[in-house]
Amino acid sequence: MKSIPVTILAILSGIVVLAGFFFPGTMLSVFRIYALELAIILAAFASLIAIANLIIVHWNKIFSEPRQSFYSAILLAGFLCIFFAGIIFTPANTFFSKFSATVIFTVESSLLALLCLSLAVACFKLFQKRKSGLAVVFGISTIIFLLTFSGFFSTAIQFSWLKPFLAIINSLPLAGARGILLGISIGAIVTGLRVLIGADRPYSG
Amino acid sequence: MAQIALIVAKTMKNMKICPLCKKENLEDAAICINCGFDLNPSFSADQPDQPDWLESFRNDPESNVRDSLTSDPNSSGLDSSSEDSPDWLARVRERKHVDEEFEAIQDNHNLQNPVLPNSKGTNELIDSFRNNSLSTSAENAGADDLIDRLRNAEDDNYSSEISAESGLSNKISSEDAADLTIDDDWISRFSQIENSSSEEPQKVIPKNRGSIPAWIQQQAADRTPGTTEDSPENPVAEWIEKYGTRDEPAPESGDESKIPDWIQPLDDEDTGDLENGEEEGFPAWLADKDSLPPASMETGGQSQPDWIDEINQQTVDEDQPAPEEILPDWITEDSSEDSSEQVSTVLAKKDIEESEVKKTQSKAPLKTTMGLDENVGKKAGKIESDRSEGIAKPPFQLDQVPSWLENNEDLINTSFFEDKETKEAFVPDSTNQIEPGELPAWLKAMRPLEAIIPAISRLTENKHIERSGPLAGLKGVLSSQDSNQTYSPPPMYTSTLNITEKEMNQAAILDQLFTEDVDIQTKHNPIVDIGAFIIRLIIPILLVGLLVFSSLTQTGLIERPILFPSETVRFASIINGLILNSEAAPQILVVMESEGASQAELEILTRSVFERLMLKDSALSIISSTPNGTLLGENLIQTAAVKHPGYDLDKRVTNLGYLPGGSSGIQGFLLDNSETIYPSAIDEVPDSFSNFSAVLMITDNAESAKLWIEQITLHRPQTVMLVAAAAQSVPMLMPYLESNQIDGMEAGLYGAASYAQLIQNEDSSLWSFWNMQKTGVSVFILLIIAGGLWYLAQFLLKSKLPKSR
Repeated sequence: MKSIPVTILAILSGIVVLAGFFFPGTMLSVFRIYALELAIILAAFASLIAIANLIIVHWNKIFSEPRQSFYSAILLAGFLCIFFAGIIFTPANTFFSKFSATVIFTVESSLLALLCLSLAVACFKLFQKRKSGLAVVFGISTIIFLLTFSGFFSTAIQFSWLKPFLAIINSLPLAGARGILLGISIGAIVTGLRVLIGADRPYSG
Repeated sequence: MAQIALIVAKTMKNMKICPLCKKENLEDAAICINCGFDLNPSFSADQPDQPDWLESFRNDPESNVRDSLTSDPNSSGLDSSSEDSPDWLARVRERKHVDEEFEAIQDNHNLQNPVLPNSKGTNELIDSFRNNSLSTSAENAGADDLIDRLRNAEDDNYSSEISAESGLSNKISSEDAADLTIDDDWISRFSQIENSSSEEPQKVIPKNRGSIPAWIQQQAADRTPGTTEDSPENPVAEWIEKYGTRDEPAPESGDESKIPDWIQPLDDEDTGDLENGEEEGFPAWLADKDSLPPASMETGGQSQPDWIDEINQQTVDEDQPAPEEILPDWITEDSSEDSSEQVSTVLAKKDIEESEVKKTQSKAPLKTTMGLDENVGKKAGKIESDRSEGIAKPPFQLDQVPSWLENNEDLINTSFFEDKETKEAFVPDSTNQIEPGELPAWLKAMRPLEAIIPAISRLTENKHIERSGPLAGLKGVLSSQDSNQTYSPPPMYTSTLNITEKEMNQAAILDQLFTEDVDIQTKHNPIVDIGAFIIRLIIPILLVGLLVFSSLTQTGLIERPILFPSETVRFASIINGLILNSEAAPQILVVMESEGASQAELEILTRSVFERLMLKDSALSIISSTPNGTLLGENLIQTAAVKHPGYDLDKRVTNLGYLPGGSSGIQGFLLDNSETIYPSAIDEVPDSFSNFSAVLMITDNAESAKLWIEQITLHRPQTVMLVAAAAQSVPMLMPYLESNQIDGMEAGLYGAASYAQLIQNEDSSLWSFWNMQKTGVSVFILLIIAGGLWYLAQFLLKSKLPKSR
């Protein structure tokens, strides 16, 4: 029962925003702008709530599970350091920028390096375990992408026949990416329609 | 009042009053307008001048009395009533006359065949009447009360009138007795009227008069000594007198024809037994109870209620021998025994009580009568109880049933009442003795157990009679014991598993599979192949060594790109146009969509770009839809600004911050940036999104880049869109590039190298990464190909070995 007014509100909001998009310069478009601004403010406030919830969860975990809350303590220490540094030095300060960026870069780059190594090992395992046509296809596609996107043939200007070959190879990921994007777009449209007609109510809790 | 009524009657002489509803109708009206009563009956039309006998009911009693006194005594009221009666009464009389004629014919026939009245159907009808006497007496009580009230009213109204006409009516009744078709009730009423008019002393009427039919009371009252015999002017009709003159010889057939048939047979038998004229106060049907002692008749016969008469009647009926050819044997035996005993007992009691009654006759006649009635009632109650019990002396007992019939299911009834009927229906014939039959041994052996047990259980079940509760006395009405008696153990099933050999093999295979898995986990440790281990060590070491070597040494083995991607060319052209073609410093919106993982790659991509823009002292505004985006963007700009110390970061670079809301926030920012972008102190920050010269999006996340591209293309299609994307997001952004939603793109390290080649940038760090990438890609391709070939060789070798063996 409680989802009924929420559903009505969501449907009306979606219809008004969509109508404002199709009829610019009207009251509907004005309402759409105000609705968007309200949504941005709510999203920003939700981010603050998410940060506060994160701190509370880890704070409670420290006192509830002292032996298993080592990383929670590190998280809280890093948060408090950056928070008070930003308040003291302001975000435009070079020291603050270098200090925070260094932590972020190292952590994120390390994670990406691990991801690359794990993917490389997975490729070798795949070739080792699955001795089938699928492994051959996967190997061939890997080789092609390495050659095309790495600029391996960027120096082979003496091979005139290579240019159309590279164009054909480049069209393969392009076709796949288009298919994925079209699927995403159609899915987004269907999701929007389901929300508008009330068939999908993810906001009802 | 009478005068007024006469005047009103004269004034309304032309009006006709309905005898039924007393409504006034026109003189020529055929039926009453109110009730539809026929106002012009046929008999009245024939004799319109004769007064209607019902007019006496309608007119004032006083006037009736006066009229009757003044009227001619020759004009009899009864005569007029017989002639001027209404149509319905005439029909009743006619029907009565026809019935009496039929009864006369039937009586003549009965006299010729005296056995017929004791037919079974007649006895049953009489018995049914007797049994229902108590119930009908209560019903008759109400009806009798109503009749008594009407009679009393009539007595009050017409007592004087009829008394004056009594003499004439007596004559008429004596003359037309044979033809008079008035029923007994009417006659008794008129006799009562006459008695009341004769001003005789009132007789004591029992309080329970309502239970006695009125005409009986009237008859009893009229037959009191000194009133019936001594009165010379007995107004009762001659045909009525035959009820009271029992001592007279047998009446003529013509007189008997007027007696109802239900009285006739008993009257014929009892006329000879009645010796005293003291019983003449009772009607014939009551006087036929010849079993009653004369003393009771003499003392208080008129006060006997109906139920006593019924009991007496039953006693008399039992005394009467019934034709044996009609009744069954067992009935005749039992009835003969019972009746002989009962008659002897009753007669003995009668003698005793007669003597006692003679002693106490003058003192308490009613009490004596009642005492006798009690005794008789007890006897009758005993008889009735014997009859009601029925099973006290059933036609045959269960133990008398032959043994060969005990197991016969046809005789096993399911209810208490059916047992009684069955016992009455199946009378064993003593003449035809059937020897107990016995099934052959082979047939007994073939009988299943269920064919015997249920019969036994039903036999025992039918013998159970409820002894308490509302169902006490009923048999076989509760079936709670059925399940206990008819319970049989459940069928036995074998617990062995029927399985085929194929199923057994499959089950063994399944069990073996699970067993092997356990063995693998417990017994076998992973076998370490030295060759594989060496390969696993060599490959990473080789990769790391080659990359380090390529990055540290500037060898000429790795060439710089000569072929440039088209998007990179367009990207470089647009940047050059912003720097060279515009007079003012370009205002570039830097959209940073990265979490920092690809920060090194993005730094290589954007360093030459920012250096290029800083040459023109471009204004850079940083915004991001990720929390870390603005921080990373400032870091990139600060890194690029190292080679341009004259570029004032504080004035030319603006951090617009984090843009929450995803696509909604991006849309809102694009539509109205004046409120979204906080008004900083920097004047170079444009007030609207359209004032930006170009949008430079730096991203390693294709999803976030897609949102920006779609919203900018939708709302700000004229905006110059430049993208510097990491290699991992390039494939997903290629469609937007192909559709010109992205004007120029620097895609990966290959795009950065191409852009550096285009702008003739000699950044050493860029080319070192270029060498590393190209070396690493070459090694990976070689390893993949080498590994594929190795496994292919193994496959071929394994496929050839079995053939050779």
